Amino acid sequence: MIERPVESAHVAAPQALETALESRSETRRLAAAVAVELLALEALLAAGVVVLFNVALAGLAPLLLGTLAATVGLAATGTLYGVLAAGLRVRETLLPVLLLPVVAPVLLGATRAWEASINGVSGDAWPWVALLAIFAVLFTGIGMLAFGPLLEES
Amino acid sequence: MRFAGYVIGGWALTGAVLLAYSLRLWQRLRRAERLDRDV
Amino acid sequence: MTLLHPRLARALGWTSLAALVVLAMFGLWGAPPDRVQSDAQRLMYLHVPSAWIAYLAFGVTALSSALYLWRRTRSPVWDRLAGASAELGVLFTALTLVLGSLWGRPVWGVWWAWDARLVTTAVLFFLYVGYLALRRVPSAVETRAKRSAIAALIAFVDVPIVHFSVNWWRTLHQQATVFTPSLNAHIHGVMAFTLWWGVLAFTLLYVYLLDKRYRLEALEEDRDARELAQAIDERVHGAGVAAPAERAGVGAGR
Repeated sequence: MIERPVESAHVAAPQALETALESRSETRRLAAAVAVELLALEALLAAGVVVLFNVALAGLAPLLLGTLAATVGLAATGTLYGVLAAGLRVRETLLPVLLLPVVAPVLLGATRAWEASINGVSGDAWPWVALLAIFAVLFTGIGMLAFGPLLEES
Repeated sequence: MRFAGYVIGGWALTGAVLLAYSLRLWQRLRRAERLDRDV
Repeated sequence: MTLLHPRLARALGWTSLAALVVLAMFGLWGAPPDRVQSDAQRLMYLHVPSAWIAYLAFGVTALSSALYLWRRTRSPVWDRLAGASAELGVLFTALTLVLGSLWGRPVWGVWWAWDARLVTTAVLFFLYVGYLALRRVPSAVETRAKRSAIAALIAFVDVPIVHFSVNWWRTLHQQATVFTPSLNAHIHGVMAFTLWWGVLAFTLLYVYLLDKRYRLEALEEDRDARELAQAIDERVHGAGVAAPAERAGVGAGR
């Protein structure tokens, strides 16, 4: 890069962040929208799995609750990191690098919960559902705390 | 010593890594201080 | 622009070197081989201290990040400290993983296993590598600091998970030897001494390196600020006649 990255970024970043999201409520709405989209996708996939793979459902409650908790966790972290990386030129590469390690435990937990709920013993699923619930609460909480500093005028 | 290869290898690697990091850090610091002085 | 007085820093540097030499003497020779693991135990005198210092480093990063985000204590000192400590944390986490792998091969027969402790530690590594990448993105200092601070606090959530993973899940990795749930250590004698000495030596080294890395962070930030001011000045007043020889590395090439 020939141009001065420090100088141009200094000008670009605050402006981009301001235009991207104006308020906390907008961010919350965004997170909710992401969650709804994910849930719709998951419902479709679940239907597909049931129809195509002839699964025996061992436990519906852990499956639904686990999926809900995982979705909330994914939406919260996705939105948080999306705002974090907003306005950065390297956003496309950086966002996955940042997000994947955070999301990996949620994905692992959800996989285990589904495994146990579908063909395994439904009792085995509950510890994973609990873990997913903790992540959901934690990341939503951190998100709510973080949006203040992130969106305030610098 | 049993597993000598792994043990010696591990200790040598640790020493090398810590030394390399320290050397690089000192090098970066010297450069930064030089640029700071040149102002 | 340093955490320690220069003379203290030098003394600390030499002391940590001496402590590490003593650790080597005990670890490689003084301590007896383990009843079960035999001499592979000797890698534990590096692996365990490395892991604990990584936790310490990330703890410092998390605390500094929190102090930066809280308006009442906001100061560039915390941001610089967070960045410096995170780099050391990544270093020691990498060391932990590699030493663990070297230990695992003779003892478990495998270089790697997908158990909770190993996976969560690998995740920890990538979380903070991401943090370091985030810090390298060119930005206004305050924006970058806030952004990094939040990433650091999220990443720190993994640290207790790593620690308790051996209790919460059935793992190949052994249960805690020292910080057991009942706080009843399973290691004694010369071996215990060597382990704690390792923690001491690594802590001294960590503090020494932290001080140096902090200073580097401070110097580089000042240089960036200077160059920014110069660039703005040029824009406002127009480029000067006969500009001096190329200003090397404008913000890039850190």
